[in-house]
Formats: sequence, structure tokens, C-alpha cells
Amino acid sequence: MTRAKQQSGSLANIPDAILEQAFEWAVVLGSGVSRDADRDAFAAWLDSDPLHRTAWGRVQLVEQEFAAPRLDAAVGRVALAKADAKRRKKRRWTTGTGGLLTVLLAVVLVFGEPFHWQADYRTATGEQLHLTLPHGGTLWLNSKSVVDIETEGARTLVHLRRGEILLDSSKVPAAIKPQVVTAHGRFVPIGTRFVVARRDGVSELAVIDGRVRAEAHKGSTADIIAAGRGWRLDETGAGILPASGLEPGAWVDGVIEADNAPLSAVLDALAGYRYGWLHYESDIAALRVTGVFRLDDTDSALNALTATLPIRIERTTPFWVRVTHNTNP
Amino acid sequence: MSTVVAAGVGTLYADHGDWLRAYLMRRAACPHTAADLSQDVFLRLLGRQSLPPLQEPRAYLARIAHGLLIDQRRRQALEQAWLETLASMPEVVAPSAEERALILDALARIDALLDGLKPRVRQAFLLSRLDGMSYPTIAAQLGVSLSTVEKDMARALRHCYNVLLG
Repeated sequence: MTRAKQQSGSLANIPDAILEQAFEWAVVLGSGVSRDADRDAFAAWLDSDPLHRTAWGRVQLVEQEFAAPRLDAAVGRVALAKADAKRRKKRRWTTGTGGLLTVLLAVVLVFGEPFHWQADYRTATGEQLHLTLPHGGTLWLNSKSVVDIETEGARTLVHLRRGEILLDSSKVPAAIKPQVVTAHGRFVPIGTRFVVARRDGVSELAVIDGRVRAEAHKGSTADIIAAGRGWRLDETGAGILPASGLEPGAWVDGVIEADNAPLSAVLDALAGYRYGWLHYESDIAALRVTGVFRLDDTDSALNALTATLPIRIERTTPFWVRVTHNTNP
Repeated sequence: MSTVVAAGVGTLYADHGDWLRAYLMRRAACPHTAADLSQDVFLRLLGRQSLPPLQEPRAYLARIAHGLLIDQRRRQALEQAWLETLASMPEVVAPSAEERALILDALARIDALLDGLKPRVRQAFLLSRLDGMSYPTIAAQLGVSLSTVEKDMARALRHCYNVLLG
């Protein structure tokens, strides 16, 4: 396949996925507000595969095009915008039919699907986002999450693509309460506050207040789930989600609240707030944990766990952490 | 002409000449132009004192070709816009004739890289990469969310990459 690609004239040899990672790193490192943790994670990425280095080198070639030492940035920027605007104006005049088509398309879009718009939001590692939805209701995004928000008339659909959200729709009139959609089903609130998460091919629901109607895409299952209960939807259907021992949505307050929770659940939640890899051995997964752990300092949280549990933390680098059974405490 | 350079260019031509023609064919208006420009790239290399060590010879050739693909009309339009901008900012010191050529060359390359991007994406990217502004500042200045700025940056990088090396 690589050969075919090369013959067609591409530079080839770097999978698109790796190239995308290189773009993402260039975005992070060029933010002007990147942190030591970002740079360390980047260094780990760069070292983990020779192709990463090649991809990074190419992205740097692109970046170098913008390093024009004698150029006054403001003058350059304005001149480029001016030249572009003139070109656009000219194109508009010279491509009359194209312009007309655009207008027709716009008419179809405006009149065909009234008041339809879509926006997507995402959070990086360790980041949370708090949004007010177009027709009321409050949405929180946990770390590493992606949603598309779509409105059709007075209805708001929150498509959860990845990660975890908390939706509070208690103050929104019943008829226009925002709904949550995942690959596995739809969650329709009945006066409420609830959490939806996507993990490993499953959509998980935890209801905090009120009730939620859960409808699986597959089959015709629909159930009404009450506060304090959990529900799961996947490819095969729906069923009760056993309590994890973690307080649902506690992350909105910046913490994990564990009440006799398995250690694996706590570590998985902490991993969502860390760069790099957090591994643990299966023989410690079922150890029980009770306590409150802060998400803004996951290293302290890990250390706190060693105080009460027979476990040991091995930090090869800050981004490569293993949790193992401590046989001689 | 150095024999080392000549030998190096010979190898580049043998290994990547066809590839470069294909690269130019996808970008130039007609096949003749593509063939001519490909010759120009190698001629330019022959005129150099030395060749840098090349880990990515095709990327190197592509960057030279990118500069040659910028047409004269586009360059002139950009020069015009730059002179107008300079005139409207009397506080900026006018560069010397020598600097001017370098600046216009860099601007033309940037202009060609960004062509086809939406104005907001262009502006966000230039505020970051030319002015060195942080994303939160850009978000505030353009009145968009931080995640929009981040998405614009990725979009602009991907676009420039495809123009230059894709």
C-alpha cells in the first residue's frame, strides 16, 4: 500500500493517525500557555516511535515557513488579510454561477431545516468545560470528552462522542428538555440531573436527581431509571449498571468520592486526569477504597492510596506509572 | 559548480525526479509548466555551494518547488497590499530594499500556504504564528471559544501541510 501511495506522488510513509498526533502536539506546544507537563508528555511521545520524530520534523518544516525574522508581524498579517480579501472579492465576481449555487444552497439550508445548528466542544486531559445550552439546561464536560450540540427548533440534542458529561435540566420545561444521544441509545430526562459516560463500547447512565428514560437504539427497549440508579446500554441491549462505589458527577466539584469502591474504578478515574500511562496489576483491582481524592493533583491522590492500601507506586517517569501489589509492607 | 553538489543533485534527480514532476503536476496549471518547474528546482540546487544533509529529500524538494509555484500576479498583488499596509502604519520603520525582497518572498510563501482557508482560521493562525499571541488572548480578541481557536490551529496546520507536503 505504501508503495502505491508513493507512486501516486505523495511523500508517504507516515500514517495519517501519526501525522494527526504531530499536528495536535504542534497545537498544544504553540499555545503560548503550555506547561512543563505538556512538554514532558510530548518528549515521551517523540521518543516512543521513530515515525513520530519524522512526522514532527515535517510539521516543523511547515512551522518554519512562518518564521520570517525581518517581517513586522502586524504589517504582514494585515497585508496578507488585505490580499486575501481582494482575491475573494474578485472570485465572487468572476464565478457568478458558483455564487448563485451558493445562494441556492443557503436557501435550501435555511428553509429546508429551520433553526438548525450544530457545534462541538471538547476537553483536553485534566480540563473541564461548563456550558449553558441554547434552550436552557447546564452541561458539564469531564476531562477528555467530546460532544456535538445540535438544535432542531426548540429541541436540543447533546451527542456524546467520547468521555463523560453531567446534564442538569431541572429548570427547563418538560417539552424542551435537552436529550443526550450516544452510539447506543438516547437518554430523555424527566425533571433531572444525570451523568452519561462512554467507556469501552458501553454507554453508562447514572441518575442523580429525578428520573431518566433510557432508550436503546437496538431493539425497542426503553426503561425509566430513578435517582440513585445506574443503567447501561451497549450493542447487545440494556441492563442494570451495578453501583461503582464512586459518587456520580463528583468530578464537577473537582474530586473523586469513593465509598467502598474497587481500586480499579478510582485508578481509572484518576487516569482520565493524567498524561501518559497509569497501569495497575489485576490482583489489586478489587481492593476497596473509601475517601475523597482531588483531581487537580493526581500524584498526591496516588500517594494517599499507598497510605491505606497494600500497594506500591513505581514511577519510571512522571508519565509511566505502575501500581503493583506491595508484598512486604 | 562543485562536483560534490553535482553528484548530489544527480542522485536526487535519479531518485526523486519523477516524484517531483508528479508533485508539480498536481499543483501547476499545465504539464509543460510542471516539467519546466521541475527542471528549475534542480537547476537551483546545482547553483548552490553545498547541499544540506537530507533526511527527507522529498520534503526539501517540495519546499523549493513551493516557492517556484507562486505566480507573478499573486506576488504583485501581495506586494501592493504590503506597501499599502506599510503606508497606513507610519510608526513602522520601512525596511531596506534587501530586506524588502526577503520579506516579500516569505509573505508570498505564507500567502500561498494559507490560500483556501477561511478568513477567521487564517487570522487566528497568523496571530499565533506571526505575532506569537497565546490561544486565550486570540480567543478573547476574536470573540470565540478556546476550543475553536485550538481547532482552527489544527485545521490551518493540516491545510498548510497538505499544500506544502501532501
